[in-house]
Amino acid sequence: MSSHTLKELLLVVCCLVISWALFIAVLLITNLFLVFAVILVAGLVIYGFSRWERGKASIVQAFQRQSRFAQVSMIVIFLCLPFILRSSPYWILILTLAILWIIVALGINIQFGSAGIINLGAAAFYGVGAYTAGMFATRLGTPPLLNLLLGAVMSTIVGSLLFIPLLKTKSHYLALVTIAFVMAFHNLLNNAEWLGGAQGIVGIPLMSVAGYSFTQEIKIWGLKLPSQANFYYLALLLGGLLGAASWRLWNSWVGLTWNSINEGTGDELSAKCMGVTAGRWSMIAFTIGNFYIGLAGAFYSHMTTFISPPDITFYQSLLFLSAVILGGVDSIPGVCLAAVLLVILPEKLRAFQQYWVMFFGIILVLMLILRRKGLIPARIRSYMRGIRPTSESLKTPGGPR
Amino acid sequence: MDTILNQIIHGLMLGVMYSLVAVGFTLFFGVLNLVQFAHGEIFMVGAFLGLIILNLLHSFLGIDSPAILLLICFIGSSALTALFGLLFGRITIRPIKDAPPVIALLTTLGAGISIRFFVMAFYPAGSQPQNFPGYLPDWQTEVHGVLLRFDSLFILVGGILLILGTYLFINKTKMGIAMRAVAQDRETASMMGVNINRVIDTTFVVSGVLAACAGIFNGLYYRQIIFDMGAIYGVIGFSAAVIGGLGSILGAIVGGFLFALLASFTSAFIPGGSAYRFVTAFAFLIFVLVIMPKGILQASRGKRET
Amino acid sequence: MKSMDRFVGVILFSIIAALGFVLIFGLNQPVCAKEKIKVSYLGPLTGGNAAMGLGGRNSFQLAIRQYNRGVFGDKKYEYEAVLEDDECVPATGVRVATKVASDPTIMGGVSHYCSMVAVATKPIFLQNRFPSMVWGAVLPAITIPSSGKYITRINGTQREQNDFHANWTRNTLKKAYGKAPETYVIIHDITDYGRGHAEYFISSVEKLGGKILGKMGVTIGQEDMSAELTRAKALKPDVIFYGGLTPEGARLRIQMEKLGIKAGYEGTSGILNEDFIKTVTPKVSEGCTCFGEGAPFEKLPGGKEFFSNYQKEGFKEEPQFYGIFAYMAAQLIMDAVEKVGPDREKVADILFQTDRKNSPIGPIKFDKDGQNVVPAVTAYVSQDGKWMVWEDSEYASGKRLLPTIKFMQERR
Repeated sequence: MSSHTLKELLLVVCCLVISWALFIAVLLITNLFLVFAVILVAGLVIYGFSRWERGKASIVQAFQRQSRFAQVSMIVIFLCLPFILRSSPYWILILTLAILWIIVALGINIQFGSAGIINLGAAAFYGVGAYTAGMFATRLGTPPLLNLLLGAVMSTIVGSLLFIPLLKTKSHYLALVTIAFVMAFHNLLNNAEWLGGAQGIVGIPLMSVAGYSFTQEIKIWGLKLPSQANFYYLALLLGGLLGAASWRLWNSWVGLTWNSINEGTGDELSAKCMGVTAGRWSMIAFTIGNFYIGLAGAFYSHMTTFISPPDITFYQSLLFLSAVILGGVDSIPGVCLAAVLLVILPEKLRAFQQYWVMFFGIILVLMLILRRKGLIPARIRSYMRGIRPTSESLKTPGGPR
Repeated sequence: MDTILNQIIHGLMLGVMYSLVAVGFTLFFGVLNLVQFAHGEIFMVGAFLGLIILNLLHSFLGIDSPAILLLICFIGSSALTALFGLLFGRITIRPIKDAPPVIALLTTLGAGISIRFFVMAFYPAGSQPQNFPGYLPDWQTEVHGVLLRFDSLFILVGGILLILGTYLFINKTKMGIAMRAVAQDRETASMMGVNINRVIDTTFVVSGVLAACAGIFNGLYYRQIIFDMGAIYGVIGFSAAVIGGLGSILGAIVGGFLFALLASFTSAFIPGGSAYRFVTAFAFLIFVLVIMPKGILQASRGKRET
Repeated sequence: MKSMDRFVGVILFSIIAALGFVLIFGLNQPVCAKEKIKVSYLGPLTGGNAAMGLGGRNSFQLAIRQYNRGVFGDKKYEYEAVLEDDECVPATGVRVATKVASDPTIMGGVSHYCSMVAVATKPIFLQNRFPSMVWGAVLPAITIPSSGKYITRINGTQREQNDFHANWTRNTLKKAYGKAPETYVIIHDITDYGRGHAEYFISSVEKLGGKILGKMGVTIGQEDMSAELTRAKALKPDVIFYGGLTPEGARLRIQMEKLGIKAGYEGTSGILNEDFIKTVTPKVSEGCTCFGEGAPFEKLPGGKEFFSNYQKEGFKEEPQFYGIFAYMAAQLIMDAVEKVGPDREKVADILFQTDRKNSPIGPIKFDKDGQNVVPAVTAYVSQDGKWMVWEDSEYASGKRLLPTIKFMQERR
């Protein structure tokens, strides 16, 4: 192994460890001033780094050339997180929630990011998945894993039924219909006794796989992990599978087709001239997206044993959608990062709860006006060996900015 | 029979309030091809400004006469809300006026949320309902079992006058014609010397005035306002505008009344229906969108769809 | 430069390895619950019921502070309050309940004013074996039947409250005025809490000969109640009963006025706070009645002392009628910890069998369901902008005519 490779590996490990250490520090430090200080320092370091061309270039290159190693390291870190956090079961729970949000965000990314279908009713589909799982679990006693699947499938079916009449409608109308849908659904949930009414469904059994109940603690190598870690690992598995599926879709001609019918970045007319049946592909994107969202919802209800109408509101939908907008439309890494931030920041800033939503709105507006690309902008796919797209060719909804 | 009539009167009053907000939405869409999702929050701001003005006048200046109080309140709040809308337009809409409509929709959504929670955070006891003083006389009378209240009639008549005024403004004044020109073809209008920025400003001012009055009406009737009152009004206003046909003032009025009457009737006549009244109204909206995407009055001009 | 590279590489590697070790092993010190014991408080600190939640929170803090200052004698441990907001929203309640229950340093908690939140968080507390004492939620199902020793309740339930209410509306009023309301229309919120109140009241009042003309539900947050009220008006009841909390209860009363409905208005503990009168305005709320567990401070054995201590702490908000329950619950938990040490299970055992002859709220005895069998419910009537105990009011003495009775007389 050449020393050059060794240096690159070292660089990758360095970066990963430092960034994860910062992340965990932010999670665990309870003194808010310290947290802000850490975030500030991290921000300055990142900013300074982004200005240092040579350093940035060598890091980027190191990650690209040792990408296999980097991916494996990331997976190792993900697997080790519960060990590091084992004295704070609450944060493991929050991280699990973050993974669920990643799954939802990936689903919306397929709908809005790739195919341009604006789904402001995402919370309703999340709710369909959650309520389906809850209903089946409490009324019929079906095993939780099956409920996950049922929730996802039901969400897909409801989504298709809603979408069929809307294949021809355009952006604002679609937006309005999805908003109306989530509000009507919320109203329905609040009043329908058979769905639990305003109280929702309580006492949903916790997840258990083939008899192994998730209330047990995990004992490995003499270390004890709290029971929340069970959820974390299952969510990680699901998230990993769905994320990989998303990535494969994006990289394939399916992703390309969706981009072509995207109102903002694609050109539907040209796509149709090329033989793309826009309606069918929109439907496919919408459906697959809802599968993701419904699955996350079903998992959520088995994790918190409780699902109720206040979880399913238009505002929740907006939060989900904004993970995609803030992270970078059609960018899988961006969307994942934004989803995690959107879960962790409000938790960390509980003390400022009153002001959090306001800041969120302001950040959303600022991002849309000033940096529509998002946190990690989507990259143009590279189809030719060795040629990487430059930063100028990054995609932006609404044209270059 | 009197239940039906009472529901109709109530529905008409609600319809007027919804229409006032819906006209704002339709103006934004017609003139600027913009879905202004923060319009509900402008409505809320109008109500809160009205409350602040009323309290100030009453506590600090000791003015007691309801007529004067209300007059100053309406004019003051309308002016301030119009100004607020103007600033809002300048800050958030001008930078993105050439971006695809989706961006504007999302931006206004985000802005709306910011405004809503700004009020919640910074208005004293913001998260709780605020008492709105009742300066309308409590006078009411029953005519053949139908209850007629002064405040309902006041709102009904006031709202209709405002809408009439808007209609005259759009159709008879020079600025109104300029707005209609921009609605038809922005580029050509600007070539003809119409100041697009001025038109944007005027749209915000007019819809701001309407929304503020609707907000004060709402406060006077229910005696309570709360920071998230704009949320549902925003969606209702937009739905009403869409049902009637985006871009047409008459459509917005029709949509507003239809929405209100549909909701009222559902709650009155379907047993247990009160809970589902918005569900039916929204279902109707979806139905209209599917069957008549341009709205009942077929108002949207073709160019809007692309 | 190769040796330099290698040197730097070795340094970096050791730093990273050290960091790794620190993270994995260092952050996980064994939990030593020594001197400082944490006790949690969950209640609605924001939203429409914040007045009650803040009052409860302050009362809770009063108890903690008093213990730490040694007001009740020297204590073995020092107590720390963990305060969380459940917003009176079940989903939020579940989240904060999970947070406190999964924190092994918190020994027990005083939880919830809102019944719906308490129902939702019950499984969480049970699952985490966390002793939780309810201080304000009245839905019987929370403790009856008992789901285990971890959930206890110090205040009364809807059962007792509505029994008392029915008796008051049918018998007490008859004694005071010679006539009692005969017909009722029940409006309630559609949560189990509102429904519970409605059902208990209906069964109690029907047993005493009252007639229910209609029953209608409203949603939490519903602004416009004209549909329900128009229908209620057409039924011509003597009294409109509202089962639910203050935001909707106040809106209902205001809109009753708008629609010219002069029937009497009787509510539950959900509207027993100053906010209700403030929102509805003293003039309109005049003559409204409601009911609450226990009694106001002046009537409770330790009430006056509690109230004066509360004032001395300089809290911004009023304790409201339930504050003293939160105060008492905190004391019970801390006393249990003093007795058996920081062990959740043992604390739960003690709390479940609470039996105290003397306390600021009178005798406390938990029955087999961990439910305090509180002897009294008090009737309140709104007079001149304040909730007055019925017996002390001018309505009871006959100096003023209760609007309900006035309405009945004018009608006949």
